[in-house]
Amino acid sequence: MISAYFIHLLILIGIYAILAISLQLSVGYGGLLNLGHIAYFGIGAYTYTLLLFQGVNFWICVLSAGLLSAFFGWMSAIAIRKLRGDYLSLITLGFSFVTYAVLINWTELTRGPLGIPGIPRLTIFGFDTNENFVYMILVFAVVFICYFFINRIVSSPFGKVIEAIRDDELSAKSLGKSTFRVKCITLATSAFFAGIAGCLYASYITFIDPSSFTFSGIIPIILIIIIGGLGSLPGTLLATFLIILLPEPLRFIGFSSSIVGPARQIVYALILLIILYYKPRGFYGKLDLE
Amino acid sequence: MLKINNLKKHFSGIKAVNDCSFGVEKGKITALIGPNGSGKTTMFNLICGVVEPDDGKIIFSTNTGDRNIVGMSVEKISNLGISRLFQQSRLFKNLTVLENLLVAEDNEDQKFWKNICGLNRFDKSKTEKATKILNDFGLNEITHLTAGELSFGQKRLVELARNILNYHTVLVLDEPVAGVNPKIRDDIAKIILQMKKDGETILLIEHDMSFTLGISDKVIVMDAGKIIVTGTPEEIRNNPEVLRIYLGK
Repeated sequence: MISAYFIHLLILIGIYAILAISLQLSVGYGGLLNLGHIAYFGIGAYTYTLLLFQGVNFWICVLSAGLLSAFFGWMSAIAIRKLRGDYLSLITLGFSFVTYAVLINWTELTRGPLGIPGIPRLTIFGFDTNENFVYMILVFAVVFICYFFINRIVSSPFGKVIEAIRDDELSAKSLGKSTFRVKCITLATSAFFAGIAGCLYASYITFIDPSSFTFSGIIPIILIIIIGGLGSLPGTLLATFLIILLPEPLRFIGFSSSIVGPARQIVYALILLIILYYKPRGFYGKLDLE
Repeated sequence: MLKINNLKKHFSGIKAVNDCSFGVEKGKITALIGPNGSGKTTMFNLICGVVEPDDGKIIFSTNTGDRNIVGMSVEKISNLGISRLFQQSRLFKNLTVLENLLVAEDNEDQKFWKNICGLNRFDKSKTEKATKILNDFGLNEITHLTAGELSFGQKRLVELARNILNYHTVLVLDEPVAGVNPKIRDDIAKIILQMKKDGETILLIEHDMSFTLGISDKVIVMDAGKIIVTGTPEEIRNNPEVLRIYLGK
């Protein structure tokens, strides 16, 4: 029983790690405070589920989920072409509310607040993912691919251009860089992996509804990247473990579920305050919060 | 090399650049001087595409012929060959000194898949090119420091090195020695004179009159958005109108 519980936690850690690593690309490296990340997560989850129920091949479902999320990431970049900082955050925040409204109101497609139950887990490469242990391996394989790919981006010269734009966009432009295009690619790549995380989430929980993709869902992910340190992928992984595991003891204290939820938020706030007081750059952050 | 024809830019009724025309000759240093608020930096912003003029033309000689660069984006103008040093430090403060230069070397770093597949890297030849210029500028000890850790004078030198490394046929330098100590001022003067010997074309704004008149071939004096005098440094030095508006004599 205990091992099943830890496997469950590890699967959640894996899904959150993908969300946080991909958000780190746009926020930590790109300086694009994108509050719409949870919407890409939801778009991925719904795309995967709806296509799967239409009998589409699993891999095409996953790829389509990632690509549709990436498309909306790219669209967000177009919407914020001349905006940065607070305005960018406002637009992407608005996007997450619009996505939620669409998910809840387009009942013919999404079943609205009723959600979509019975999402099947499939056999992949001969492995039955109905076994949670197998599913955990699958999730960690995707975490590895996501980490490898994003690490590859940020360590490459392209990654240095992303960072250059974060530090001074006009200066990057004056060196001949097409900053708009680079920002589009950054947001689209970030959204792609959020969409993939959405597939894993939908398949694991086997039920999705719009309440899983509300704005409040972005808070722990932002917390992870701040505590891990902006511009640090290892820090992000470490912080994911911390943020998912630390509130867990609350379950065993015996509080009612109506207290555990708010208590979790209090724990998050305390972790953030303590970390920022003693380590303002987070665990391995390369830049200050501005 | 660069011809400014009847350029105009107004900001809410203020004539920042008012019907200005001048030329920048190949292989020469042309200086733009004038009191604060005379429109020099606005002129640079117009040339580099940071702001668009209300009227007029900016003709730039490129490999493919003369082109009016008005309305082009900052990055396109840069890629045509105009490399700009800004008045305030605009280094990428979280990148190292070396990375600041490597980013300026070419535009292959913008090709996503080429970079992901490892077909474009900061390889030995690129690093050597950047390191050589840092060595020439006496910055070899600080290559691995982040730009945010540098002193003001070091930042100026690194920025100048970065602008030289960036593809260009014209260098546009906005107050390269403002606020630096005399040693770095002399170093920058030597670098600019060496570039002139190498045939570089330079357009310069600088308040330091002895510096400007000491290195320039042609000086253009602006006041209240208009060009009032153009001449050699010697002519400018003895021009009573310049002394009146610029030096207050």
